[in-house]
Amino acid sequence: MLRRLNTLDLSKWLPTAAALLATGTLLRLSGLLTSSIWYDESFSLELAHLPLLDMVRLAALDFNPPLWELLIWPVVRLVGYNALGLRVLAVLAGCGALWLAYTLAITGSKGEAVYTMALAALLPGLLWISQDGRVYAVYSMLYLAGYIYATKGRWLGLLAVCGLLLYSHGTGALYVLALLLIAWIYNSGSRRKVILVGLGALLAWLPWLPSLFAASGDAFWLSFDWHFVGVQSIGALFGPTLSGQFSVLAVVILAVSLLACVVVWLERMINTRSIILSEPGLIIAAILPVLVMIVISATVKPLFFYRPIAPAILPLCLLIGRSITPRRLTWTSWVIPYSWALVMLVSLLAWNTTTRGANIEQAARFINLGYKSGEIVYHATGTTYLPFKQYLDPEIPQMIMDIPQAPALLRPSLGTAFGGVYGDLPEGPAWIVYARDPVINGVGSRYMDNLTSNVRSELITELHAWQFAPIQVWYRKGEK
Amino acid sequence: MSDYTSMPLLIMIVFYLLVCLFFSSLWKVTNET
Repeated sequence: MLRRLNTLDLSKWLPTAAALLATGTLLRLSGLLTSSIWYDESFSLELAHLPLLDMVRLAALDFNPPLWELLIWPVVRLVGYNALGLRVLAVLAGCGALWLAYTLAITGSKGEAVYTMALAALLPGLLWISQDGRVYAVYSMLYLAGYIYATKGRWLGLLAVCGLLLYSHGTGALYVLALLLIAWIYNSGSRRKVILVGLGALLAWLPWLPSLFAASGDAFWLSFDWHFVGVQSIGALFGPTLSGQFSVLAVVILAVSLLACVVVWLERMINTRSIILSEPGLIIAAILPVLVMIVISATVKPLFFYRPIAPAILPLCLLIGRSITPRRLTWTSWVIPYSWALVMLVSLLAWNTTTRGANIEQAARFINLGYKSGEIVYHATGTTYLPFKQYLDPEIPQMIMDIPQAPALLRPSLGTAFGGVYGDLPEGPAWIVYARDPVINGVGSRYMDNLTSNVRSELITELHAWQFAPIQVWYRKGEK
Repeated sequence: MSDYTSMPLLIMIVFYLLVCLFFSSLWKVTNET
C-alpha cells in the first residue's frame, strides 16, 4: 500500500483527501463518551464482566456470536467498565477502516479519491458505528481488510478475516461468500487456495454452529417491507437524524447513484465488448451481501436492518467514488455530487453524539436523587434493566417483570446471570421503567399499563432514541 | 460439538488463532515497502 502511495504524484490529491481523512478521524473521536450506554452496549458490557469461558458459554444463548465481547474482555479490564472501555476499540476500528478506505481511494484519480473520502469520512452512519460499543465498526473494518486481501491473494489474511467475520455477526457468512467470490475472480491461478480458505473458515466456524442453529428458531423483532428497507438504509448511511423531505431526497440520490454505477458498468462492458468486468470487486463487495440479505428477509426471515448492512457502506463509498466522477459520466458530474453534499450537510448538522443513546444516565440520576429507602426500581423488560444498572446506585434494588417476553428483550436465563431478579411489583412506592416496545406481549403490556395508569403513578421523564422504543420513567407513590 | 463445556474453549482457541493470523497478515501488507 505504501509503495503504491510513493509511486503516485502525491501533490495532485493528497491535501484534500488527507484533510478528509483527518476530519473523518476527528469526527469519529469527538463526543465519543457523551452519549449514555444503551441496551445493546450494556449487554456486551455485562457479558464482558464475566469470567472468559463463562462469557462465551452465556453468549451462546444469544443471537450474536461473541467476537465483540472477546475483544473488549481484556480492554474493559485495563480501561474500566465504562463507556470508554466499551467504545475505544469501536472508534479505533472505525478510524482504521477509514484509513483502509483512504489507501484504496488514493489509487484512483483525484476526483475519485476526494469523492470517496468525502463519503467515507463524513457519512454520519459510519460515525455512528464508530461510537457504538458494539461489533459493527470492527465488522466493517474486517470486511474492507478482507476485500484488500481477496484482491491481492493474501490467503492467510483472508482466512483470518473470514473466520473473524463469522464470529462477528449472524450475517457474517454473506460477507464471507462475497469475499471468496472476489478472491475467486481476482486470483484465477489460485482457485484451489480460495476453496481452502473457504474450508478453513468453515472449520473455524464449526464450534459456533450449534449455537447458531439453536438461535435460528427465535423470532426476530424485525419486520420487512420496502418502507422498512428504505428507512434502515438511510439510517445506515446518514444516521438517524435525517428526517422528512431530506430522507426522501436521500433515497432518490442513493437510487440514482446505484443506477449511475450500473450505467458505468454497462458502458464499460460495451466499450470492452466483454461481459467480464475489469474491476468487479467493489460491485460484489458493496451490493451482493445486501442484496442477498434483502432476498432472505423477503422470503425466509427478516435480517435486514441498519447495522448488519454497515460493512457494505465503505465499499459502496469506493464504488460510488470510482463510478460517478465527472470524467466517467458527464450527466452526473454535478447533480449527484451536489445532492449528496446537501444531504450529508443536513445530516451532519443534525448529528448529535449526546442524544445517540438518549439520556439514560440523566434519567438514572433522577432516580438516584429521589430514591428513598424501601423503594425498588421495576423494569418491564431487560432492555432497560441493563442500561439503568450501569448508572443507578448499586444499593438500589431492581426487579424485572416476570412475564415471558421475546428473546430480543433479554432472555431470563441471561437476565438472571446478569443479576436480574424477576417478579411482580410489590405494593408500596416504586420507580417504574417502562420501555414501550411494540414486541412486548399483550399480557405484559396490560400488566405494565395497569401499573402506570394508576392514579398514584406520575410520569417523571420519557427517553427517545432512534434505535430503541421510548422509555418512560414513572414514580408510583405509596398508599396513604 | 454437543459437548457444551468444550465449546467455549474451542471458540477461544479459534479466536486467538484468527486474531494472530489477521495481525501478522496486516503487518506483512503494511511492511511491503
